Amino acid sequence: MCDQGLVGPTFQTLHSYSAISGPQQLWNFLQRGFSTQWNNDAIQPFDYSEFLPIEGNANALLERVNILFCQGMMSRGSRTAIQEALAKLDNLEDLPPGVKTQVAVWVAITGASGATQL
Amino acid sequence: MNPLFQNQIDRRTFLKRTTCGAMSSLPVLSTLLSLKTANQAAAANLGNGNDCKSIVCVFLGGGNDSFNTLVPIDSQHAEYSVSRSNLALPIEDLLALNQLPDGDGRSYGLHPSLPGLAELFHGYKGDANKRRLAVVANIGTLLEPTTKDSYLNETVKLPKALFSHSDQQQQLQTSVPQGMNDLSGWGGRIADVLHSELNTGKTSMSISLNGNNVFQTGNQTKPFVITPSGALVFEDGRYEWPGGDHPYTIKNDALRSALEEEHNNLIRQAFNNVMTDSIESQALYQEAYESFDESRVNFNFGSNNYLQQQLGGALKSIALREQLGLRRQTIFVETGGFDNHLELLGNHRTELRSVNDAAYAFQDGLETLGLAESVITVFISEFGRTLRSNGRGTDHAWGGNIFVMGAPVAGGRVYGKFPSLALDGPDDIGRGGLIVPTLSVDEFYAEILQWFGVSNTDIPYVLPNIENFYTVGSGTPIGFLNS
Repeated sequence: MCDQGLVGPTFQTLHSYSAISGPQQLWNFLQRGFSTQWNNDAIQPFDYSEFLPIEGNANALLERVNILFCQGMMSRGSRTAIQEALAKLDNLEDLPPGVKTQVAVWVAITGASGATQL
Repeated sequence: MNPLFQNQIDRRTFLKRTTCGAMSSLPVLSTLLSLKTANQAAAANLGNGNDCKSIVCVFLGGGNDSFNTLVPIDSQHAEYSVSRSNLALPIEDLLALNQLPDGDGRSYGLHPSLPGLAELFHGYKGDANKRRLAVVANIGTLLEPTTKDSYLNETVKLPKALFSHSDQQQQLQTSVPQGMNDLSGWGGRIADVLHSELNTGKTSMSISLNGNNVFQTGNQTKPFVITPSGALVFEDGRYEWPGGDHPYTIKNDALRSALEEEHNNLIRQAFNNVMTDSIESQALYQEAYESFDESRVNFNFGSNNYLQQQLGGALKSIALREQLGLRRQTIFVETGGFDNHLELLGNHRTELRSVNDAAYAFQDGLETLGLAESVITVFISEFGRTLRSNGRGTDHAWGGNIFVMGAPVAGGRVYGKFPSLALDGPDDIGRGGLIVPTLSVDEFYAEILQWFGVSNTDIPYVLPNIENFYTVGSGTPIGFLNS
């Protein structure tokens, strides 16, 4: 970008530490929910109920995440990575409901097509 | 407990897996392993020469009241007492400094919270051959040499937004007080000219223990941010799951895989580059960081003193610089609490004590590790404070006194010209004791750059205003370093 004479304000906040701490915090939010100062710090978990019926259908889950988090413009690399991850999760025993959604959402929003907007 | 974290394994097993089995078949991890090998090779051969040097920048945020940090205890103490009124420190409370004969010939005392720094001024552990601390008096941001008259007559160019925290913090770190379109700091510009020439490792030479900062932001380089606990990594392999990898590992692998994609869109590709570089370099750094044996040094890495925690991270980073392939390294740490408008005496006592304890422990650690000869630590703050008491504290001003510490320092002396402390005196531009600096921070930084190996050709790139104060190549600008 510098070579092209361009500046991206986002790269003043994305650095060697936040590149990892940000995704880790997002994973915590996805798993446990988040708390707010004006709510006595009670943790508010996310409601995954609309995703649970389609967790068994990888393509349907992928498209839902794509529309919601990537404006329907998920890149081929992110798509492939999520598909492979969902296939691995299928092999795990006693996987709690919601985990597939959490993984799909996390990879989508921490990858380039979810973290940047065109 | 969250159901995903019921199968946590112990740390020993985790580390074993992280360094062996968990390094699976993903190409990015192959790259990481290759880089590790390259770094180990670099440790054995640092390229052209093998001298290693580090600059540690300790930023005292808020504007340290440096005229209550270094206080005249000769006849000028009366003038000081009148100006400071209820905030004046009595001579008997101050730690008297015995300067070497070629100092400025004056008598000073340090704030009573600074016994460790007083010892370093006189000689580490009583050894007069190891005077590790000097003071540079009345220094600040300047665009060109400035006097009270030239200031009042408006015949001189001035730094933008004097007396403003955010602007002066930025200018201390850019050393470009006229402002910049593309912000960069003098530490970052050092990295621009030295990193690729002298360093061979993957890790940036600009290591920050306090987040992103202007000081280490270059035109081509950027800070590498860690914490006192070290770098941040995706800890694959810490958790187990029946039937395969833990979902935590699966999602991390998926992200790494997604980041390998090549994008035509510049922002997406830049994002991927930053993320991939960060994941790789943080993992490499953490591996080295964990290899440091803390028992080698008598340093309380778990101290409640946050500055000491940061300097503990600095100490490890310096000890590991060869392993990381770094012949040159800058380190940034910061502590706040110096903006004492409402309560100076008590707060200053506490804050300076923290600085004293952390700085002494850090220097002691460097001496123990045999690294003292190759490290200079500077303590800078955005401005000095008004001489006049506002009743309980002091307000934003301009020139102030700063410490410089290390074995390369010709310690035991006060450098520069200590100003008159008289209100409306020859150095006070008015409004309650705003002292005009007699030295520019450019001159101070330039001397450190010479020691660091920045060429005379490159010094004006790092310090664009230097020629307004000092002719590059004409000796040393101030003379506070051993020749």
